[in-house]
Amino acid sequence: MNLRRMAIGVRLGIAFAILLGLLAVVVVGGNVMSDIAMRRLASGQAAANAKGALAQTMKSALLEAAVATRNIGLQSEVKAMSQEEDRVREHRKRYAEARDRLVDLGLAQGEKELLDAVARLDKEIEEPFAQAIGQSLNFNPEVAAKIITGKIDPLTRQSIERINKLVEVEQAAANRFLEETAAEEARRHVLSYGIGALAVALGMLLAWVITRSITRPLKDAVEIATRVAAGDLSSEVRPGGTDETALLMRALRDMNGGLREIVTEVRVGTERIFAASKEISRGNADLSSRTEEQASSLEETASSMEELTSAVKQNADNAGQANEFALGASKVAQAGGKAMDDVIAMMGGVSESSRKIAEIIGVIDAIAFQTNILALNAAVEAARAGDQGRGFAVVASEVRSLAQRSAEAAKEIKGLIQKSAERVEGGARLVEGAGKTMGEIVVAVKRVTDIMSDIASASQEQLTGIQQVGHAVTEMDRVTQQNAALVEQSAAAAENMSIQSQQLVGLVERFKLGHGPSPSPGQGAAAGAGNGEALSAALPERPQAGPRLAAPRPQPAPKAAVAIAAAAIAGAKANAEGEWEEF
Amino acid sequence: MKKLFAASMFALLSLAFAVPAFAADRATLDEAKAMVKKARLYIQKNGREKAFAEIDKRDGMFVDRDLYVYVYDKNLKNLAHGGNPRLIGKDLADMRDPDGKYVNKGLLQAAQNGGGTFTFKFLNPATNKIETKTGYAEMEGDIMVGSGVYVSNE
Repeated sequence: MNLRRMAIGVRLGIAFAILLGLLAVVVVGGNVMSDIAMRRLASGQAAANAKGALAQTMKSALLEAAVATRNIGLQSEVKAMSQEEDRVREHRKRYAEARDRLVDLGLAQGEKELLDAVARLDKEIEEPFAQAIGQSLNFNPEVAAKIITGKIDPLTRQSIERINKLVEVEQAAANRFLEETAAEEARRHVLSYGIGALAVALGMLLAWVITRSITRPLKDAVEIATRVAAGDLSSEVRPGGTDETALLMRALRDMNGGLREIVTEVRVGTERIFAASKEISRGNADLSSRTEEQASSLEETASSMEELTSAVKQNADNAGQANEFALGASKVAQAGGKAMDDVIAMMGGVSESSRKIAEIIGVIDAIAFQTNILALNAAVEAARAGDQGRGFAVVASEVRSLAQRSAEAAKEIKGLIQKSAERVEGGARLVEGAGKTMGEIVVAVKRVTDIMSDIASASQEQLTGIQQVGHAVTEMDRVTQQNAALVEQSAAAAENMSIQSQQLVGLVERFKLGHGPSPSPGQGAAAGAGNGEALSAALPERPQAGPRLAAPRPQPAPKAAVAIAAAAIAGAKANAEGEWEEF
Repeated sequence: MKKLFAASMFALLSLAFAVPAFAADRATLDEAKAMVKKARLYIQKNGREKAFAEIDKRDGMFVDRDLYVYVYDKNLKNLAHGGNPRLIGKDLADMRDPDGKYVNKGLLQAAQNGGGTFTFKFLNPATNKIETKTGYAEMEGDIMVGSGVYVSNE
């Protein structure tokens, strides 16, 4: 549980750090140890080899010096002797240097003993050696040979024996170094394997512990997720620790809770939707029947309108004919009126002529009066003139009588004329009355014509109106048909909705909510379940019961309900248009 | 003489049998110097040829115990040697002792400085061993005449 307080990364980091540390220890330690061993081996072998080489040098120097020593005695010239002697010196020097260097390298006990023995032998050999050289140099080779064979050679052999032993010792030392290194390598291998095994064991333990600390909560999480996937929301999640898996568990708990709330709400909502869709279905059925009724009444209306239209059409035709007749009468009356007008005008002319005659008569009368006055005046004058004027008086009296007679005739004519005028006037008055009457007739006929025309046009309008009404009724019929189709679609949609809400109920039903906190009481879920079951039971019969208005069409599958509903709308539209065309 | 012979014989024997030899009677440096002077005188009197022959003789007048006389020309060619007849007539300018000293060059230098000593190692004919020798040499004209005494190394 302690591990659960640690983030997975930190956990893994620590584990890897431990393992990498061990790896580093194994690798670095192994390499360092190997390096040290190799270096020790190399230095040890180098030292042993160097000592061996120096011992070999000593040996060869000793032997070459011995050879040169012998050679001195074989020479007969000082120069050659000197050369050999130089060689002897050189080899002796080489020998001494090698020995000194050997000593300088630091010697083990056995080596030291051997070298001490060699040194003792060297010291022992010194004297006979000097003797031998000296003898040789003094051209006394016999003695030198004796010394060499008798003293120097045995000592030299001893020396060489020791040196050989030293060489062997050095070889053994080199071998020992090799063996020691091999043994150490073996020990190191054991240690390496040990640490490696420890690392593996520790790694396995850490892997197991850490994997377990990750996989166990993950398994729990998977279990919860699986249960959620199976619809079981009743899981109780108790996250422990503070690591990522704990966060995951916490998130799962929140998700579970959230889903539980959502499912509860969805369940309530779907129940409501189901109820509502049922109501919509019911309403749709009502609407459907009403629309049907409406459609049939509209159809009746349409046929009535058709009859009405034909009646009105006849009416309009009759009115048109009447109008034409009235127009004919009007024309006749107008012609009569015109004739009367002509009569009146003629009568007016007569009356005018009479007046003119009367005026002329009046002029004649006035002339007669004035003539009379003039004749009187002439008579007076004639009287005054006496006899001379007697003739004139007679003429004047004659003129006077003529004037009087003219006046009388004029008076008579005037009376006649007056009478005629009165008559003409009466006739004119009568004609005027007739003309007036004729005018009235014309007016009346005209009015009749107008009225008839009005009637005809009104009939026409009426016809148009009736036709429009017919159109409107047809339109109404079409719309009603469409309405019917729509109602049908709506019914299908409501049906779908009902099915889907039922499916939704069924789907939501999959979720087990358990005894957790729920915003809706348990009875809602139970009721929903009940409804769902009822609906599921009722589902197979539904398609037959569904569409009532239109020809039965395949009930859309629930899954594609929406798409098919949309298609159904389009189809219904097309269908409605087709019906319209048929209509 | 008998004594000397006996001694030398004994020494030879002792060498042969690898028995340490007695210390023979040894001459002194003064005796050696005297011997040189004697040899010079003899050369002056008897001429070189005779003198050299006399010097060369192992039983001649210039051999006394470990004393003997040697003569070199100025190029250090041996003209006469009372100790080792094998050296006679050899060019021994480069002759060295076992320690690397140039024996005759040292002696010649000492002689040319008006007569002197030079110490080196050389065969003692009396003991037949290489011993430390202090040689003394003087110039006799253009030749060097020398002798010397041995000191036993033992």
